[in-house]
Amino acid sequence: MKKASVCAALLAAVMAAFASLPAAWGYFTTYTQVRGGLPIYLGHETEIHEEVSDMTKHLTIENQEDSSVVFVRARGFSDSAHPLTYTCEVEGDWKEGDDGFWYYQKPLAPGETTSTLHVKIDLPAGEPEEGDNFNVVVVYESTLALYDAQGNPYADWSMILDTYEEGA
Amino acid sequence: MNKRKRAALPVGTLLLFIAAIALLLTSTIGSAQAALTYFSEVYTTKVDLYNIGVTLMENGQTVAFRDYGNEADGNWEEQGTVLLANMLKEGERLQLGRAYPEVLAVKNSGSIDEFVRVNIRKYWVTVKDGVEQKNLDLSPELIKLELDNEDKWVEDPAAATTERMVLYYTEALPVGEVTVPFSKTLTIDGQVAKYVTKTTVKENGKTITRTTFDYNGVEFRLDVEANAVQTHNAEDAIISAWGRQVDVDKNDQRLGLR
Repeated sequence: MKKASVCAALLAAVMAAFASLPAAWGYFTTYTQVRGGLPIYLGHETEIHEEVSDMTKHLTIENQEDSSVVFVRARGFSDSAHPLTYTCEVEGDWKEGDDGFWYYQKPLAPGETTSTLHVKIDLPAGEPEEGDNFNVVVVYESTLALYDAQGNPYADWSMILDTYEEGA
Repeated sequence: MNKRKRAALPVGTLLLFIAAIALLLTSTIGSAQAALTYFSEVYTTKVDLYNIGVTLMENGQTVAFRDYGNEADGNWEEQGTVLLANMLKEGERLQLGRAYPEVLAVKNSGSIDEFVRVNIRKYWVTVKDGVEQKNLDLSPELIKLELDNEDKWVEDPAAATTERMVLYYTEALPVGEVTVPFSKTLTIDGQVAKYVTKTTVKENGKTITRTTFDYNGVEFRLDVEANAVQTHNAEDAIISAWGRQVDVDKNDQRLGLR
């Protein structure tokens, strides 16, 4: 048999052998996949309610129904001749901070309202006279409730949403 | 003048070529012929089938699996549900910073031992009219999956990005066994509340500045894909299937990333 014939025969044999190999080269593999997720709600809206009687402002703050859980704080500003005195409707609900703000101690769930903080305007000696003019402004703020790993809520007062207006 | 004469093809060579072509053609139908001869009312035969399968477990419950069918007919038995479906109670909202239990593990639901790995992806999406759009401006790092048993689940640093991590289980997983968990908890970092955008508009002669949360209303996503491959010829199988070079100890079958 000539050399060319031998080569052709060998080539044919190798091709025939390799034709069945791809199946043997496959490996057992599999996979499975799953996913999930949840929405994040950060928006919150609160409203302050003020009533005045006997030279005292009675403050409550309401968290709106569709809001997130928040913490709130409030304080009053007045001139030096009319200092303010704070008392709580429910002992311990409000506590004074080092910055002059009074902090509501409990997180405020959607739809909840704080107990009342009374802000009494102290007058100089004697009854106010006609023409006496003074101004007391109450400022309040809210911040989104954050949680520790165990789910205990706390406030981070470095995160406050601002909405303010300028102009006429 | 020389006349060149072309040599005639020898008969032997021609016969060999015909034989080669016949061999090639019949090599692909040999198994089909064999199958036909198996069927007999007289004789029975027993064939052991080697099926691979993998199941993903969340907090002890099966959430997805894909097993090669017992009929060995090329069909797969598979099912997938949703991750985090029981993370919150009805009507409850996600609490930022809270560590929710998210214990994830892999089970060998096939009939051969296997090596497994998991691909984990975390990202944010904006959903509008039911259509999800990936939000690349928000940080996947604020979606924190706390890993567990990091001595047995090794992260591939070459595959790691802020969005993706790939963990390799360093032991062969026997049939029916469950790995130790690769995660403990899932937390959405409270830092998401620090990302805000201020917008200023003029309305009725007033300049109004509003600050809004960048992450308000977006949704986070956690994708987990479990991969399994045979332990036989594992190094070759893994480079072929997963494209990753590994070393597998021949004695204790421990897997290490190369």
